Amino acid sequence: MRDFRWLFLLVSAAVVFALLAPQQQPGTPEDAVKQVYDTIESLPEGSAILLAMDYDPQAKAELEPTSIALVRHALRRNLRVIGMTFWFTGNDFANVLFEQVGSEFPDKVWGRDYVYLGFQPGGMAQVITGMGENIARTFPQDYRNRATAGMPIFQQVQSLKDIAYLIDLAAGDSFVGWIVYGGDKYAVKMAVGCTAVSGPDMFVRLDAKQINGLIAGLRGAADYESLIGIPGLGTSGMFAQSIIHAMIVLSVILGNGLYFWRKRKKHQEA
Amino acid sequence: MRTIKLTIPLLLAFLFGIFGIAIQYTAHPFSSDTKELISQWSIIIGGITWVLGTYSLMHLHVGKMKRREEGWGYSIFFFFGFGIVALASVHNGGRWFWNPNVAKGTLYQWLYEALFVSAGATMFSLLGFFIASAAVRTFRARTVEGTLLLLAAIVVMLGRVPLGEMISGYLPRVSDWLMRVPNTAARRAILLGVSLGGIALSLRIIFGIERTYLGGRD
Repeated sequence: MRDFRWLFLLVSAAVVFALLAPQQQPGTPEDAVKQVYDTIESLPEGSAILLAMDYDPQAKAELEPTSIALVRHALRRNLRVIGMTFWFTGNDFANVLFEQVGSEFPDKVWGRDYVYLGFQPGGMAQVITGMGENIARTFPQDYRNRATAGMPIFQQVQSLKDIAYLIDLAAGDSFVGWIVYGGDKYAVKMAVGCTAVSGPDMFVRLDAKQINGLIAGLRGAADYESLIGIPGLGTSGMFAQSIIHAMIVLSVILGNGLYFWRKRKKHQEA
Repeated sequence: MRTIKLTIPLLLAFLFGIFGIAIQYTAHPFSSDTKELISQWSIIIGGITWVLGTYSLMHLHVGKMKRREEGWGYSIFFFFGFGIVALASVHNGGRWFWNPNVAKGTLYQWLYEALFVSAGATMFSLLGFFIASAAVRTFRARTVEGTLLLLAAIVVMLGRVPLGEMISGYLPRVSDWLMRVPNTAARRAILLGVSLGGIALSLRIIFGIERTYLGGRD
């Protein structure tokens, strides 16, 4: 097993096969994901949620399905959705996502029911603190360079204190800044969507009730899609993930089998 | 000279440190207005740092090319990529940069979606191959601890996908327990240690005990 090219080839073939012939694999949604869904379901119509799209193209495959499902769910529930990012490199596709999902709801209007504000430099602490005082003044223009001051959405939603639910879709550690300067300070209920690799970091936050829900990785996205009843990229990716996980487990077992076989052979030769 | 180089910076760090803490923990309108003002200043200064960062990056690559350092040819690609993206952004689909962003059909959008997003996704997907080979190399039942790690990894890997639930309903439950109990306990200990260290370091800077940030020796 010293030559890993065979393993890489097998992994590639398995991913291609799973993506070309996807199978629906029903799974029970995790409690932490259900908590996010239940919170959005419980919000009164017209409430505002803030989606911080803090990810870049590298984490797009994992976090975009979650983002799409969340915006769909919120707009379907007649909530107001405000998007922004601290990751400049993800700014453009986050805007495209808002435009595409927004266009699925012909009765929803940009600037009234949803808006994507874009990126703002200046550091997380300062920008979040600014939003805690006044969102429209911290983001004088949205992604399309339109003045936010006159937008109907910001007549009702003036600061973070008016946000009913804050969800950080984080590829890095932006969730820490949101918890410290946003969630904890302005008493905003908060959840995190993250890559699978960051998932284990979040259970401390869940346990401490700094966040009330967690959508981790593609599995989390698939769970959320099943909860809102609209299968998407998360659901279709789960078959590929199942196959790869099974393949890695089999490779580990095989590697251990070879290790013990070699050890025994060496022992017998000695 | 000592006053300019040491006393004044230490005094400023002390005053702004105390002031920064005070406005975070008081609800007076003055605190609120000051926080908003600082936020606006930070955004302006943040914008300026982008210019500084761009200059610094260019300076670094020009230096590499002048000195013919190893890999200096990549610097040519940096200037090539920088120039093309900058021109495409300024052109803004024929409406130029002073008009609102043209979101679709521009050269910039094509470069972003076809090159940047695709290259980024490719880089991240290589992680799958890395994890596969790392798992095979690392998870060996050589010791009791190694065997426990191996078993935990197998349970979590299977418990996180629907296949695990199809094999046994207990797999996701055990996986969830491993994540919520032993994993959380270890991470909480690390987090508390790091946070207490952060608070201690901040107090050392505010009270002038930690001075390495001034550029001299401790």
